Amino acid sequence: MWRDALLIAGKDLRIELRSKVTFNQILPFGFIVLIVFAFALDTSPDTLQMVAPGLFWLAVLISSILGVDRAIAIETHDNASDGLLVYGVDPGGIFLGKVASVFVQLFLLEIVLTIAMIVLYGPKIGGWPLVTISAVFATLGISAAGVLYSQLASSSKAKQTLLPLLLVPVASPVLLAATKSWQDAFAGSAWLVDPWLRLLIVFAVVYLALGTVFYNSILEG
Amino acid sequence: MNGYVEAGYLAVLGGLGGYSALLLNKSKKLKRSLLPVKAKDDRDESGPQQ
Amino acid sequence: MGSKRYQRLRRAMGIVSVLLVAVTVVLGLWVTPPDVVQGQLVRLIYVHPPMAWVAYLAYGVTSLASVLYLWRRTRNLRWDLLAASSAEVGVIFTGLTLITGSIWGRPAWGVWWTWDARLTTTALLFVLYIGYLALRRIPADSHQRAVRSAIAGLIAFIDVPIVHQSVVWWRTLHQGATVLNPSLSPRIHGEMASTLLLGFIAFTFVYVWMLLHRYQIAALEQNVLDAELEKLIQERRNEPGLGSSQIESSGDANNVGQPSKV
Repeated sequence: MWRDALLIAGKDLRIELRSKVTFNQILPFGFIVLIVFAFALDTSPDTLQMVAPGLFWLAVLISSILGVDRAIAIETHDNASDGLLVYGVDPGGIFLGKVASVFVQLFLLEIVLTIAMIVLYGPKIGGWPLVTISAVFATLGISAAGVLYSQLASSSKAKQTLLPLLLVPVASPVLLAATKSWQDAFAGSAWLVDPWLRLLIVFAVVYLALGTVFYNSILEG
Repeated sequence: MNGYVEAGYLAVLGGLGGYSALLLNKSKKLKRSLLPVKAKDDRDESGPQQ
Repeated sequence: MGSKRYQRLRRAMGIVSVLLVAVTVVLGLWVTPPDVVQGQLVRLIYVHPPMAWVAYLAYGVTSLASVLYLWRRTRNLRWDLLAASSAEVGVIFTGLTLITGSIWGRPAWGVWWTWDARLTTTALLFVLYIGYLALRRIPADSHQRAVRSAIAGLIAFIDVPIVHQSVVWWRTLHQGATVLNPSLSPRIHGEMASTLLLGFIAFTFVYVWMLLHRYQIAALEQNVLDAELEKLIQERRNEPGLGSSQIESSGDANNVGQPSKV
């Protein structure tokens, strides 16, 4: 299973390296979301600094919808996933591979967006360890839930409209927890026992497990 | 009483009543469409199915 | 569809539900006394908590039926239809929970909406199951749809405690007291308690009646679909130059229409 996961992740990342969809389309989109949020609120530095973590994670969540949709679209096109199953690739491996590839792309996107956020909103960031660790688990959770739901909705012609409806309420705890743990971290708390971090870890583990167990049924069913 | 209480009860009765009416209407239509009719006008009679 | 006895039972159930609700309304609106603290507003307690209870009950049934479908030994399309029916009724009751809660909140707290943990969780739950119902509307063959929606239903259910926990922390870790004043929750005794209990029973009856009806509709729709599919397949088979062995009709969906023991 792990070997299959690595293979799938490698394949998807290679596709991304060649097509650069995330880099050329999703990343600029996340950037513009950060900019228009400032339009919607206020340009006063106080407001922007205060809401920076929330806006950042909302931008990530919105971008992730595009990212997971893309990750599954690669497979549904020409029924490529059937091909993978015929080759004997482990379904759990496909799931974990997809999650890994989405995770890498989203994490890179977050690094760029963090820099953009610091420049645009100017928050002062304290505890970097907590910032990094929460980002890792939040991204893992979003990727796992996203890939799972994207696959569930994949047979639909209306999947572009269905996916956000399914994913956003499910991922709302991640949005909340990531925002809050970043607020704690920005305020200078570096300890990793933050309850929000625990929630992020639980969410990521639950969705990774659910996806690994159920992916087979979704693909075949 | 004070308007709010009545509104609450009305919302509940209206909501549940409306949904029940919808259910009864739908099942009546479906039952009619399932009656054995001549193959030709089967389609016209069938009403909404989804 | 449905033996005579089953239909009679369901009709009796409907009549009993209407009577129970009527008695609850009369007791709730006119017979019970107004509360010392909340005054007339307390009358909403006879409808609002029962709505919430039925919503949770309905989602519980959906999850249970989803599990029974996913488990191969009990796999039957009936569970899928039951899960879908219960989820739809649950969404109706969740909507009514939100509406009655909002109507209660306005005079009691002064606002239509407050970011209280329970309210926010309920709102998210509402959207979660609307998503589940939307997922069900994707055209697919019945087994595929059943598997996918069973998984979605199960995930939604597993998500509820996580959502709830996050929202509770959100409201408590960063904000001292909630808007929900504990002194507002009235002491209940005597006829108020029995009316509340009656409310719970009455609306549970309504739920069961709606579930039976919704389930029958789902099963009938499935029958109509199967019949049409069968007809199309027959037409194709009768076309010249097509080997009849190439198309097989799906057999598993045919036994759905019987009244079930739900």
